[in-house]
Amino acid sequence: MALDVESHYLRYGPMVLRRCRTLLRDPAKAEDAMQDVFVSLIRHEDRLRDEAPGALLLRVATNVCLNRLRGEKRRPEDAHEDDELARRIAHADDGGGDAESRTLARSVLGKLFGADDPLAASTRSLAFMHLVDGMTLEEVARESRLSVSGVRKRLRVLKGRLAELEGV
Amino acid sequence: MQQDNKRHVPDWLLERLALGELDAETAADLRRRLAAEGRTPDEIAALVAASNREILEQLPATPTAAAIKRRAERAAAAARPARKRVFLWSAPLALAGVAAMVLVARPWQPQVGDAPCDFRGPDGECINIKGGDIHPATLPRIYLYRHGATRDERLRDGARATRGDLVQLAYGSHGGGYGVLLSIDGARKVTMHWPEKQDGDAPALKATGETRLPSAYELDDAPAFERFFLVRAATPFSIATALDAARALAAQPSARKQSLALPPGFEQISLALDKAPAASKEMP
Repeated sequence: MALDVESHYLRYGPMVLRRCRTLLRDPAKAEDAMQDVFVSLIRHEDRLRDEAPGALLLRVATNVCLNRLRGEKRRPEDAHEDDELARRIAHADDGGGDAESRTLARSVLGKLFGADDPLAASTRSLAFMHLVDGMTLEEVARESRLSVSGVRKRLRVLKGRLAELEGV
Repeated sequence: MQQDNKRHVPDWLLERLALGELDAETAADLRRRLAAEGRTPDEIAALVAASNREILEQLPATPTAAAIKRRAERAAAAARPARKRVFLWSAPLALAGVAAMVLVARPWQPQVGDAPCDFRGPDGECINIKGGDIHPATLPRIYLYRHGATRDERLRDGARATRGDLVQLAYGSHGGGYGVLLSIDGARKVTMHWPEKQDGDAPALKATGETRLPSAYELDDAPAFERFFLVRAATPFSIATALDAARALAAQPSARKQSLALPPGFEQISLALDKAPAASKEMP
């Protein structure tokens, strides 16, 4: 059964576009990424049988946008900020943190997701949901259809990277 | 709960609340947290609705959906003539009606014993494991299956295959470790099968007897052979190490038989399929 793209776009397209704008901060790139999200949905529409489309599309949008961010060049002049930002993001890792912490977390995650970053795409998405969106581990687990312990385990990898950034 | 109420309510969950997709307990919790912020679900719903209208005015549904479909068709067309990954749930449909004809066109002919292998495994696979005792029960393994209309066929080294065959790759590594699965072909191309990325470190292998990759693989029209490798090491290694060795081997005339030139500490298990011309529909 072919996916009814138009009806899905009508219901979920604006939400997906908002998500892409939030991550990419560029209207044109966000629109392009939004279309890719729906192309992915067309390819994997069977997944719609198992879960609510909203959560699935938000996850796919996060993955698509983080992959695009990953390919963008890192600005050399930002390099000196790493240590302080890494400390801030580490403090944000206890339940969302305040708005400033989330902004800083976004910046650090952007650096962590450089082209040579070995973190798995799914881990990057989980990290973004927890550290930037401000979702609890339980909320991340529920929205990702993972166990809380599974989310916690994956985020330990991120903490290891942060420790490396701090020069430990 | 009071501390929880002070937490920022993530936009993600607000979107899901506006869609009405949250379970009752989660929705009730969010309403409590919104109230603590001095907001109401109705306000959120109104904001979301206004944003939706604005976006749908800028990007109307009909032309945007048409653009998405065109993009999807282009992506599918781009993948069609070349080798492509085919997710398992589509494999039976893709093969229905053609697999049986392909299989009878060229009966399987094992061709083993002509490669410089340390020794051969149960499926005739070439095994090169240097520096250590060999325990057959715990050897790393590579498995290949050809998807059929009704069942999968396990393929041995030297099995005949043809363009369009859907093959499922699997590995076994009782000892865990780290590894990649890739293949080289008669067109001197290298294909990464797992992981999909080509940079960073090789992922950990599951310490089980057999682990199938999440997607199957459709053979393209590369001539002569497709040779699959499991490259394994006990400790993490750069994917580039395996890829570089594969590229170097693929460029050699002896790529069908020779081993990958890998540093000490690596194990490699390979299994090759010999390519045959695609069966024509006129064949019985």
